[in-house]
Amino acid sequence: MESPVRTNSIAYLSNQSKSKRMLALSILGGMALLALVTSILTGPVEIPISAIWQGLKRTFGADPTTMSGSSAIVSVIRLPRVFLGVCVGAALGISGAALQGLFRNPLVDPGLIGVSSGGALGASVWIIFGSTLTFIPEFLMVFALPVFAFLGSLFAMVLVYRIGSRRGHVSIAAMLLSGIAINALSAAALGFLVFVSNDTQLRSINFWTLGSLGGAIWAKIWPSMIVVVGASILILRDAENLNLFAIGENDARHLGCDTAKLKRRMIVLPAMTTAAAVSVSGIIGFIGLVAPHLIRLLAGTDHRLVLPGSALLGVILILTADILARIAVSPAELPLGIITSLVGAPFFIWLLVRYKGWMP
Amino acid sequence: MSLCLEEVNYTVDKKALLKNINIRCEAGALSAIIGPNGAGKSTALKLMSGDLHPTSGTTLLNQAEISSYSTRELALHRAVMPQQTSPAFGLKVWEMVKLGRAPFAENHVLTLEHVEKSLRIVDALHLADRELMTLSGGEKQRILLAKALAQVSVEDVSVGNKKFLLLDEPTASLDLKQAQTVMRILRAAADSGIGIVLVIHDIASARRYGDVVFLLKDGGLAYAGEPKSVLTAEKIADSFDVDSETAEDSLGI
Repeated sequence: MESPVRTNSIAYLSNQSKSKRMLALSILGGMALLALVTSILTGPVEIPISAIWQGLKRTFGADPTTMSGSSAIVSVIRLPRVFLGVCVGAALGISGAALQGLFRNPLVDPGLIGVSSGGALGASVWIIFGSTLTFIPEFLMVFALPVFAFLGSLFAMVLVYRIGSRRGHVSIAAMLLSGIAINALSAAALGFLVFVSNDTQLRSINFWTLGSLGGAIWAKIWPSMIVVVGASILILRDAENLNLFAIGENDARHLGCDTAKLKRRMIVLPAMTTAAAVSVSGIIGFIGLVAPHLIRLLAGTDHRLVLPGSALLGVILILTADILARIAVSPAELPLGIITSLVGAPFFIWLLVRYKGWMP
Repeated sequence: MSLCLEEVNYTVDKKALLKNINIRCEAGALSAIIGPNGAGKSTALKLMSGDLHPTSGTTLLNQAEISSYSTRELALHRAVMPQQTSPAFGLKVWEMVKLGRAPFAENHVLTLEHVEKSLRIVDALHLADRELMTLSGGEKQRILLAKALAQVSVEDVSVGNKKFLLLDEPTASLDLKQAQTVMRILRAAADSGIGIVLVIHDIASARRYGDVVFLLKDGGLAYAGEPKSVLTAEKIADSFDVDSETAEDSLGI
């Protein structure tokens, strides 16, 4: 009997899917690089492409004698901005993908487990009460806001985790619900802080909750980048485990995946990654939701593709949004969060309508 | 080589779901667990799969206590076929079956050979490139079986003929022909050296394909032994609390 599929079919299908994965990642990588260069070249001052290389050399410590004015702009203003964008975009993208894998639900976003609202609260606490903490030495002042935001994110995330789990056993539904509760509490506390703030403080809080890549400086970016890169590598190592988890928690365990430990890692690592990124940039919504979903829609559902692909797409989306934010009302700058939400929210609604059928 | 429950009691909220149970399933045999609803069949299977731990007594897999296995070691020795599946994201048939080889650190080419072989056993190679959720119920069941068979393949020499496949009513939602296909595949798998343990409501199939039958009633083991000696009209009538005519009919003789 002649089978419609060739005898070497599984090997063929596997090869085909691997090439598709590699092609998708290469295209995304190329697009990310393009967005990176475009972002560096975009701004009120025209910059020749050659200045990028000189700016890089200057930033990473080589030969300060050959500096032109434009390479200084690249090194001090444009590069930090782009690196922060890479950091935030990759963090939000990979965290969103990991959390969607964990919750087995394509509508999950890092904001859902309290990371964003906790960060906003932490940042606001510093903005309002920071001036009273006189014991903090002067040179640490630049780190204070991101550190407070990071602590706020971690605190909210730990609360959500503790409420949503019992003796290390994570209940996905309880986790989602406690995320909603903690988000509401954070919003109330933030509202109170806004109420007691003066005009300058209000403006800072407002600016922070809308998110921006502007004003990035290297001193703040390095710590954040180390956390993002480290945690992302750990998340990527769980790609195969997330593939198992996607077919069901019991099935994954029967196939040898220690699901209790996996669940713990997939809460803590994305939360740390997101916290490290948004503590510098402020809250930027919807990237973590949209990026993984687009990757699945366009290229496939294997987490070996979805995790790195979402990180790359996160970078592409955030740099593009940032370019738009800078040129839309030039010479002023729109907050980045407005653009991502403006595009992200309708996309989210489209997803809701599309998947209404299978939601409980 | 065997999978055993020894003197097992299992109690939840002071309610004894299993009482002093002894079940011994051999590799290379098809063991059927039978009994009325609420008799404790699925609980017994969950104990044997290592999902639950007995309140007292022991679960032994190849002479070692099952709780001494790590999650991954356990996956090398036993597979559990789920009753249904709903992957969170889309998945191709061959990708699903490939997950059955996840516990094994092996050459990629070998993995794909296992996938192909398992799909061939359940006669679903032609479905390999289909989206899993677009298949019919019976086809999906066969794919789940292929995944489980890939996991318990007797070709893994390091583990040898010591693997067990646990199934909870694999034929419950299937039509007559599909059910017969699944039972024949399981029979062949047992003959190849795999230990098959299944909970089943279809008494006639258990009698026809089984090597040994465990008849549970009210959390206790009522009868155990060869199908022909256990699955008789009197014993069925007694343990299922039905009249003898209904018991006769269920045997399908």
